[in-house]
Amino acid sequence: MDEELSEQMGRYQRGELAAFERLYALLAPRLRQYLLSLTFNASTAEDLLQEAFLQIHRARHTYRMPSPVAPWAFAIARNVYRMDRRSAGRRRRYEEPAPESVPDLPVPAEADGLANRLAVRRALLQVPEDGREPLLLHHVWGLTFGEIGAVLGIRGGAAKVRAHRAMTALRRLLGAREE
Amino acid sequence: MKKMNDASFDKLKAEVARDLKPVRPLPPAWVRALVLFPYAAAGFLLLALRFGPYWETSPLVWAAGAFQILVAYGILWVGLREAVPGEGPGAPALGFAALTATAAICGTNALLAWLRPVPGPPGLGGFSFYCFRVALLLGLPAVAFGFWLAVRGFPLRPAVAGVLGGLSAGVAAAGVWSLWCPYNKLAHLASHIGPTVPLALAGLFAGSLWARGRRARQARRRSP
Repeated sequence: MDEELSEQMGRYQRGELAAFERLYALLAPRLRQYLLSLTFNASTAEDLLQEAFLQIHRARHTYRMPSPVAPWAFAIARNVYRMDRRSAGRRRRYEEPAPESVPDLPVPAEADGLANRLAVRRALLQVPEDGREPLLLHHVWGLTFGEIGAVLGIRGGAAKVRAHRAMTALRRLLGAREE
Repeated sequence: MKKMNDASFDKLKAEVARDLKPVRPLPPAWVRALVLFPYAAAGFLLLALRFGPYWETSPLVWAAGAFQILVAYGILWVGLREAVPGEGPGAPALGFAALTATAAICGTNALLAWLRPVPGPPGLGGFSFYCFRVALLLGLPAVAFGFWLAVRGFPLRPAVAGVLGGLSAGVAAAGVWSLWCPYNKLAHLASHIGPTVPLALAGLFAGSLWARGRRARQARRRSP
């Protein structure tokens, strides 16, 4: 997957529209879910996804082969979310969802067997945001902790610690729920 | 939802197709930061034209100047890394780099003042507004140029890139100007390094404006 992404980025930089379409097909599902995990709102996530791809288009000259495409694209998507959140600030667009309307958050494979998916999603909502993000980036989208550090602007070690704490919290929440 | 996704993808594709010219990948930050050396050389020539060939001949002063330019190069390198998504250093690394650079510059100047003591000009404890102004004027074009280099990439934190560009310009300007200024009193050297603060603030201001503009454009595109 990483090699194909890298190859398509090279073709995209050379001006091939087909490469953009392929990149979109490969990256959009992951970025959409990532944005959903940040916004909790499918329609906002979809809007931000389009904006993220526009920014990816404008930043395409900053990608250098053969470095991995995913951390570069996730960093841009995260920045789109942060800018939107900042300009939306007082409009309170980013509210935690009501418990009865749990968004379709991705479920980490490690937590999948602990309870049913809805219970895991509900528990994920209770995990603090600074831990939830590295947890999902690592366990769902497969980024290394070094790459997660680059996306979040922290050290890889710090990303690992946050993800570990979040996983512990998730296990505790699911354990408490089952009891 | 699928129909909505298809419609937004078509719109996005049309927008991308309108501006799909081939692009050349940006060279690595360490290569782009090399521009600081010709800039320092140009600053040297400018000062030679303005003040004549009365530069310092002491190898110690030249070593201190060269060291400061190397530190400035390191800061610019970090600033230009900031211009590539996913390559920007984290907050602890930035703090560590800033502290190391400050310690290196202060240490070099203190060592210079101790090894080769030349009294400063009278008044203000040796501080000179003239030197402050010259170093500031030398650094201002460097801030603009460094910021332009940064936004040629895609800085996710333009304000951070701007501050780093300003710091780098200030340190390089101090390094070059110290080759002409004969005074080595520690308080006087503060008037060489002092302009680093307004230069970093200028970079911060330019970066914040840039970020605000980008945020406003994004908000406009997203508004119905």
